[in-house]
Amino acid sequence: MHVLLVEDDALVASGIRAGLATFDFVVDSVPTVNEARRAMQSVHSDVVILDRGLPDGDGMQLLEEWRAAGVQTPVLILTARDAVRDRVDGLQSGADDYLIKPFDLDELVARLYALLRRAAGRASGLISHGALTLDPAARQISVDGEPVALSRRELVLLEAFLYAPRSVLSASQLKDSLYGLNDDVESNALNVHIHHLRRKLGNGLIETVRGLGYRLGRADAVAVPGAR
Amino acid sequence: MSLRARLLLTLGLTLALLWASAAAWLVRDLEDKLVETLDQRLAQSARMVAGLMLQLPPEVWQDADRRSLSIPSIEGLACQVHSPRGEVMARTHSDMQSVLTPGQPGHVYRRKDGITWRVFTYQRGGLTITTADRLDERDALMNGVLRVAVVPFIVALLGSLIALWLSVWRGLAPLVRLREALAHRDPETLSPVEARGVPAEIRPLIDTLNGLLARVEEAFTREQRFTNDAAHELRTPLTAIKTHVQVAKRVKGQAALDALHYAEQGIVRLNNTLDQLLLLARVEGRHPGADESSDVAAIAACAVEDTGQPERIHLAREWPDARLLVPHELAVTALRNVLDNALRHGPPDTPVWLEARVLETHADETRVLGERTELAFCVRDAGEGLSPHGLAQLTQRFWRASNAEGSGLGLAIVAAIAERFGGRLAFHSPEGGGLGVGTKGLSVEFIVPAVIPDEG
Repeated sequence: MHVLLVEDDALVASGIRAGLATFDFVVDSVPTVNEARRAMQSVHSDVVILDRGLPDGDGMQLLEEWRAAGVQTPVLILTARDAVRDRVDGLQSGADDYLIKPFDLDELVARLYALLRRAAGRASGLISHGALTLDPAARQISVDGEPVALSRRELVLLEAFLYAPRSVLSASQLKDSLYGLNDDVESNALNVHIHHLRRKLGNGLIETVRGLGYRLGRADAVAVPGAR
Repeated sequence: MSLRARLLLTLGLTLALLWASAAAWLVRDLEDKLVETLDQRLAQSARMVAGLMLQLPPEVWQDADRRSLSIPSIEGLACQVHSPRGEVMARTHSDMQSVLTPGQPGHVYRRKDGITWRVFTYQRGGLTITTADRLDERDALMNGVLRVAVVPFIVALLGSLIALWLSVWRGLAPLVRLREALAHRDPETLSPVEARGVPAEIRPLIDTLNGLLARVEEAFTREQRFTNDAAHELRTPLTAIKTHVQVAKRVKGQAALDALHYAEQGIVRLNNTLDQLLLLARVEGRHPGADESSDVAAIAACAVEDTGQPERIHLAREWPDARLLVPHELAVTALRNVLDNALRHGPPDTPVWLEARVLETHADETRVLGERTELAFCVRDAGEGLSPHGLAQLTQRFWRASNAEGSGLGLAIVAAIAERFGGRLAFHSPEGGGLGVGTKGLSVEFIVPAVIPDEG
């Protein structure tokens, strides 16, 4: 899952980046409103963490701007101000959630997953697809209750499909979910990961939509464990 | 004792006392005049009787030798005429021999049967005439006069007491209204007191009160904003520390060490912010001392040393011969903050220029020894300068240009120190109308009062 972090304090940003990386989030962080605006146009983010007090403006105004432009990405506001007025303002400006500094890393992650789940229209914390079950917080994939070993990138890629079960995901969107802006990506890396996923969980798990991208296959296409 | 009671008591007593003394004076005067007037009337009667008797034909006296004439009596007035031989020739009352016996000419008092008489003896042409009137008649007259005079007197006194009470009540009404308005106020309210309909004497009081309330409210708002800002500033490094510590728990090896290192950086920053906040609180709570002054060159040397990067700072060759009217320690702190700011915002490894000059307060005047003047420390960096918008925000607490490090309190502290000692901060940026051609970067001037030392 790709997170766009808008935070001006370098030390806080590096902490959030490192913390979210341990949960396999791909995080791009930008320190200003202007850079956030650019990043939103160039990268597909699944969720945005937005600090309020930014050097070149208020995060709230940026959020209103995005919402007015029809950006649907879930946004979690991060702020050091805890006055009720501030919270109400934040939620009314189109924020999906609100977290006050200093926060617990686990809580931040739980809220991010809750936002992603809500955006995907799911109620349960566990995501199932046929025999396949993903526990996002535990970073665990199982088929028929049996854990399956996946690499970090494979897990993140599968997660992207599971969170958007009916959508066609373009190659660039999938790359954004896998890699940050500063990561070096080899041109065929995405194909390699998709190939591995198909080998481990069945060829029908990921379907190729010619000219558009990929989408999650039918639920009964999941291969039973022990095939490997 | 309330103001109203005090006024009523003082004015009421004074009024009653004045009226009473006036009344006593009046009564005494009246009595004297009455006695004088009635005595004159008694004497006039005697003279009139004498005039009449002398005009009577002599034959009348023949009979008189045998029988005295009887004059019809008037209530309260008696008269008796004696012949030269001492016989009673005529009288009004036959039973008042003892009272009307002639004595020395003039007025005397005589008593008979419990009644006091005023008697007048008059001699003319051999005749002796005595007249007398009753004293109780006189007293009745006196009482009548007093009654006529006293009633309006008492009415006037009562009237003036009522008028006094009314005017005191009315005059003090604005005070009472003010007291009630103050009593019914919410003690937490800092809104101004209503000044409408208040007399001119109380207006300064209300104006002072409202001024005080406004200042309290301003200080209150400022403190509240400061507390909010301070909480914000402390939470940011705290967040960094907490997040990195949590990361350190989740990862191993070098990554964990890195996280702990970052957490430590956060702690250093938290510590700096706290130090700066405490310094700001100390400066704001401090009153300027009378005879604290410090040396310009010493301040510059200490401040440059304290920045930790003295090699980047280009010093002026000469320092003005002046003493700053600011304690050494605070002047060093302020100048160091300005220098830190310049070092941080100029590009790395570029120089920062520091110089000091005495401001010319009067362009045409030569400098006088011992005179108060102003000294400016000027610090200029080699950076890009600031937009006018940025310049306006420079001394705001917790404002930082871009995402630079620092507590955002540095220049706010300098401004607080300058203001505390009657100085100020000035900024010049190439964009915001620079110092002149060829200068680059942001110039910050820390201006404080100084004296030219008296060498004599």
